[in-house]
Amino acid sequence: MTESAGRRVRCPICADEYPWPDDPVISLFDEENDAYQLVDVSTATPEKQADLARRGYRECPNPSGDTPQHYLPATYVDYLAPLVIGLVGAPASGKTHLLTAMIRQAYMGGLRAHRITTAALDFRRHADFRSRYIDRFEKGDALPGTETGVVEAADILLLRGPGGERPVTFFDVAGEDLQSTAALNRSSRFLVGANAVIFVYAPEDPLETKEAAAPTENRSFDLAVERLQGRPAGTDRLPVTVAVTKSDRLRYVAPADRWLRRGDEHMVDATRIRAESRDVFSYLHHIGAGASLGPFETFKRCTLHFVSASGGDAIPVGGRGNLDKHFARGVRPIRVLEPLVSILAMTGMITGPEASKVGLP
Amino acid sequence: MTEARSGNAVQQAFFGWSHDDNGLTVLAHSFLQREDAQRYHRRLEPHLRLRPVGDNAVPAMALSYFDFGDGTAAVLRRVHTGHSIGRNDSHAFIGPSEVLNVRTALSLGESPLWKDKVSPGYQMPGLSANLFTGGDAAIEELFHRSVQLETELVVVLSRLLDQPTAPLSVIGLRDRDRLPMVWALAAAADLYLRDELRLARLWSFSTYEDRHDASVDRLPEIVFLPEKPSSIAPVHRTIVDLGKEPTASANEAVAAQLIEAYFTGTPYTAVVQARQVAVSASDLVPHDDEPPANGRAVLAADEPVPAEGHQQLEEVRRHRSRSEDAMPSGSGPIAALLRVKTVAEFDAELGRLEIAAQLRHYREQLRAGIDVGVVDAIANFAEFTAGRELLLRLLKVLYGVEFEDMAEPAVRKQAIKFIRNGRSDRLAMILGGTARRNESEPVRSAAFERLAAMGNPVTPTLMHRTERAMRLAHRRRYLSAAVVVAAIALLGFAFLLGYLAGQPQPAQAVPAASQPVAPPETTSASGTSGTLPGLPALPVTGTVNSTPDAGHHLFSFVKVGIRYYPQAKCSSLGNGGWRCEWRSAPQARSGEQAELVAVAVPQTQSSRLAEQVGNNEAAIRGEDWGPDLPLAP
Repeated sequence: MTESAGRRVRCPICADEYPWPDDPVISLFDEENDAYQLVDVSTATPEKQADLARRGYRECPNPSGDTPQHYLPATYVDYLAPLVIGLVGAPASGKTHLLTAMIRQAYMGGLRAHRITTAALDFRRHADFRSRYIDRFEKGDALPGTETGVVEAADILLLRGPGGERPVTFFDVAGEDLQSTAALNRSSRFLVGANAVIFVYAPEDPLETKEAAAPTENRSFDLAVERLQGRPAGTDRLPVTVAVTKSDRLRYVAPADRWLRRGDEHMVDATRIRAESRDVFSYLHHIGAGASLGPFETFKRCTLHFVSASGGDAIPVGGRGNLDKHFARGVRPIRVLEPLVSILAMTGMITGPEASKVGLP
Repeated sequence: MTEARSGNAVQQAFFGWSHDDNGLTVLAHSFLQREDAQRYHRRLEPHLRLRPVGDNAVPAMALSYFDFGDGTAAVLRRVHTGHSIGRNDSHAFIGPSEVLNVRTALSLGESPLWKDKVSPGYQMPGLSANLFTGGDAAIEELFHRSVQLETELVVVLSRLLDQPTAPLSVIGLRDRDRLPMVWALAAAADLYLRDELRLARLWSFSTYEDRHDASVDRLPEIVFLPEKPSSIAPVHRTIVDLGKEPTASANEAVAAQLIEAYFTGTPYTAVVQARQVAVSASDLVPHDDEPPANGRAVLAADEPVPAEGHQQLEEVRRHRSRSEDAMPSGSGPIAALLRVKTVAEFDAELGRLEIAAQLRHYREQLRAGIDVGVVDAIANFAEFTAGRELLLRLLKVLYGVEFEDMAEPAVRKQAIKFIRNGRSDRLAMILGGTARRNESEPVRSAAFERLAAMGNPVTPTLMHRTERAMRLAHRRRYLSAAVVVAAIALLGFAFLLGYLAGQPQPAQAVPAASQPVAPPETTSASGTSGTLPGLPALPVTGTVNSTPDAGHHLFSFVKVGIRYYPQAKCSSLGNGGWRCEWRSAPQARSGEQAELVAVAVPQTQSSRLAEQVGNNEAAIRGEDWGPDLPLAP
């Protein structure tokens, strides 16, 4: 606790920067009353202090005073610089399904081939994410659309690998919030502090949209790219990736079919990632989705991937008008970790000569 | 924003998935400016989605009420239809908070004004504030349903009184009990809070939420959740989980007395006196460090209690002293019936009356509140306006909203056939009248020929003149009122003559508005002979095989229409067999059929039903009753 004291940290939720406190008072969550209790741990033994800190929180002072009360794990700054990954995409593009499948695969050891292990940094937040999304996903139920107005991070994991131990915070907010031009919209504020972004694009079903061509604009991409470009650090060092979700719809369409058949990769190969990026670019260009290639044209380090979070479309269950949908054959995620692996390679979590070339031209 | 504040109109907005906008957005609205609709969309956006909690199914419908604190309020109805789960459709009424108050919001639960589906871009009409007044029958129904919630009400109200400024989350209450609970809490405690604690709650509510933590913006004061959701952010609300043992509360006695006063209509001052004995006043004063929740106001000591608080107490008293009140002719359900302009509104008002009119004394009040003029006005609507509207709707279904299909020769040919050979003069006349829109001379001529054949003195020439006048009036708006009224009167007279002259005899059985209504044929309620069609001579005994749910037993009823006249508790014969008795036949209107049924009812209701047996009083069918089991005597 003392090593990290005084270190400046940017809160991923409110995007304010402040010195991390060094007092021995942490907040423990009282499950019964849904409230945080302040606990002075100074009299506890070092072992107990460490244990309480691992389960405890610190309230963000939110110097700007523009965000509801929120807390960060008490050990948030005890590791290497936190990685904040935001998902950006239109409503119903599959962000939540992708994030759910991605975190589930990571927990199932999907990153072990890259010598990375996955654990929860924020136990409660991960339990919440599991109960709301992963459990439902594993039962084969389609996930509900994300509510608007969300400011909290979806999950905060702790990844340990050759690049060290690093908290990874994921943000998944409603596509409507990402398309909103309202300056006071707080939900997309994570873009201020994000140090990696996964842009999510879904080739829509023409029968559903009644539109033959892809939309000529991708408002969520455009707004996010412009806001990221406006940051002082600019676009030079921000790694991004474009994930074409619902690619199972393209399983008989070249060149997506070739990549989907490969399944999960077990090593980082910059040449292969570049080849996939090239194919995704060609595909998006071919279908007239040039508006969704903005991130590739703007950011210096960018990869593109075909992914499928569930392996197929969910079908309605129940009577007419019932909105519940189910994956009749269960969920079979395809290549959902590839965008995350690219991000981890571009941010130094995965090391090696191949990793250092990922996303570069 | 000013539109929603204006006193005479309630705006509406329909939200759903738009492929054009690629998101959940405003599909249709009645605001003059789209920006106004968008403004309220922003306010309601975090509350539009029906999302599951745990393994619980999402409800088919949820009702929410928001008071925005700027003089406007919204009632939102979310339905489990739309694009996908969490991207459902919803419909909101937005208007001045003095119109859309909590009482109105609660009475809108089953309103026919709600729409489940609206075409994108449809221009919804602004609604008159008059449509949102009344609702007495709905509130009456909520009161009756709340009677069964006494235990839960005491638990929830005592926790509310523990922290009277804190918003409230209620977990584990059945969906159908949620609106009655909000009404009962507001009616029982509002005046008490205002007078004793100088505290005005908004009583905003939502019957379904999937989260209630501090990160949710503008969450209503009272929300219901199917189970406790996991939360990352802290929860600054009083949480009452009805599935758990109730937490000890210092205010339990006060709450029990307030609820009792609500049920009995006792002035709450009696409760105050009791409270002064039981609890010291300082225990109930909000803590200084506890700020008033969103929009909730702590009244200054010398600030007068707003009149609406007293109105709510009066509401409670009125519920319990109904028999002493005369039905006012200028307000109430009859007035609401006179105000209707469409079949849907008429049907809705009638439906409300049917529920309340199961109570005999309510029917007495209704009868006392009407005279021949009122009956004539209502009958006129039912026989003429409503009939015409229904036929017009049918024709719009057949030929398009603007009768655009009539432009096709084959369609016109068929329409002419309908006019010449159909039995309904009124339909023929309406069809002929619609031809005007498409300049379809043959259709119009066919209608005139039929009219002339009916012996109507109005000649085609005159009709043409009238029609021209109407078209001219359409162009010259300053003439419109006079000409339209003249034309409608003329046409109406012609149609009415044709209708009365041309209908076959059975169709004229409906009494004319000015004719005296024949008294209904009634038979002795206590007679042992067959008193109602379908009934055998009473008393009779019959048997039925059934296995009622736990906590239920079989009760015999004479069912007349939607009314259930309790007879007696059935006795078990063992092996699932039951013996039931029917003792008396109730009074009924002529033409009503009666049948003998047995119904599994909760044991808790049996004593009340037994009390009604001797009074020949109909019972209200509970939602927790079993199906009707017909019996052969």
